[in-house]
Amino acid sequence: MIVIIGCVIVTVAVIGGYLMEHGNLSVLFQPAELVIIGGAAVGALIIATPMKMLKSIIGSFLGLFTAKARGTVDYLEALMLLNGLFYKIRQEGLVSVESDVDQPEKSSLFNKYPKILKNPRAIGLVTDTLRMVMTTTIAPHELEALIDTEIEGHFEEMINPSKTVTFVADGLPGLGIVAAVLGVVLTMGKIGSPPEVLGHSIGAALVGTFLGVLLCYGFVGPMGRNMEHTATEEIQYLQVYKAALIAFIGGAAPKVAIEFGRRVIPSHDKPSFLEVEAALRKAKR
Amino acid sequence: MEKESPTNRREYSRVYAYIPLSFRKVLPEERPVVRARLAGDTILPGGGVVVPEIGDRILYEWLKMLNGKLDSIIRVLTIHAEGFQYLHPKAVQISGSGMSFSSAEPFDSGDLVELKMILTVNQPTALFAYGEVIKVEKQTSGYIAAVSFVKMDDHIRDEIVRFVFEREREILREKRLTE
Repeated sequence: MIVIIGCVIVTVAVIGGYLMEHGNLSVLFQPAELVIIGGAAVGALIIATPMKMLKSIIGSFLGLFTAKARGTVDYLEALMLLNGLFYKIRQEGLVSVESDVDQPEKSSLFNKYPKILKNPRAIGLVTDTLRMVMTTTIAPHELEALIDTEIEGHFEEMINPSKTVTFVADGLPGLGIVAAVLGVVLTMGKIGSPPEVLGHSIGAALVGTFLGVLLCYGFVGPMGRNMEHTATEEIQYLQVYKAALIAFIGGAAPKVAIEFGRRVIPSHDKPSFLEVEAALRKAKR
Repeated sequence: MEKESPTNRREYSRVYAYIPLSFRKVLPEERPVVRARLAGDTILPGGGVVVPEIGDRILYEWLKMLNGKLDSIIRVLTIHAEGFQYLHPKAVQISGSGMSFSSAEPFDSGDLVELKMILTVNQPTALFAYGEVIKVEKQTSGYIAAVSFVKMDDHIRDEIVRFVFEREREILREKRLTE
């Protein structure tokens, strides 16, 4: 939603400013230029990107318009899920979470948090970590290194669409020049025409440059940056799971382990100690 | 979706383990002064001295390693000094809230028992725990006594919980290997 609002503001500001100077809107409407720039940008993207990555770019791009930013509630839910798991392990033993870990989609514990269940990265991190604990002698510090490697991998995977979109954005001014040059070539063909025709033709050619720069700095570039922020936010979210899991496996009591998780939540989304305590009490009832 | 398990009133999970253990009934006059403690707590209060961070990373790692070795030596010496090396392994069922063990002598409900044991997670942890007898069952030879830990601080209970957790890991690994 916020992306759409941003796009509207950019459009209104640019077109509005143009109209304030009594600009002629019909001159700006050059579908051919859009086809040249947009088509070339999409083509360049396809040349530069493997199919798998294209799919994840499309996913990330759609996510820009549909996904909601993480908030306190999401982090609180993550802490509650971990707390539920930790208490179950403490009360009923590690064996008791075996089925939850093997089939989280059928687990009553995980099903209390459907939003988390839809996040394969978070679920994978929790279940794979517990599986490692159950099946190996891995020490907490080794486990931490392992989770770090996994999170790094996720980051690389999530940051790549952003890098590619930024690469496309960087190419847009250049493609705008291509469209402008083509417009000038067309103008050359009309060199004997009256000045109004030439002016219109040169104006249309310049719209190519305008569109290329505007799309780069006004739309596609910021979208790439947004994808980068989303990836960073997702990593911060996974760090909460990591901190709590490592603390618990290292021997911390569930409440202490949860606090380890709470401490790594970004300050603007961090639930207060009392909020977490209240949520834990509510979950216990 | 799986069924919710019935309300679990147990606070800590329990495991079967084979640990060096000895026990004795606490005399009435001892009752007010006993308290669960880790062996060597008086020598290495709070688990020993932590090496402060210094700029030279390699030197820091060496100092940390030496410190760790010294702690281990002190711990072993303490274990010996307090007679832990003479303990015989016994099969027990242990949790953060209590344990059960076999005994040749009968206990009465309400008796206070001193439990001297070694729990091995990464390194051996020797400790004195105190348990109030809550149940005694007669076996063909001897008795099975169940005690609830009393006079115990959280840091000692955490050691037991950690041991239980590691033992559960071991059991699960064994189970998966045999499957």
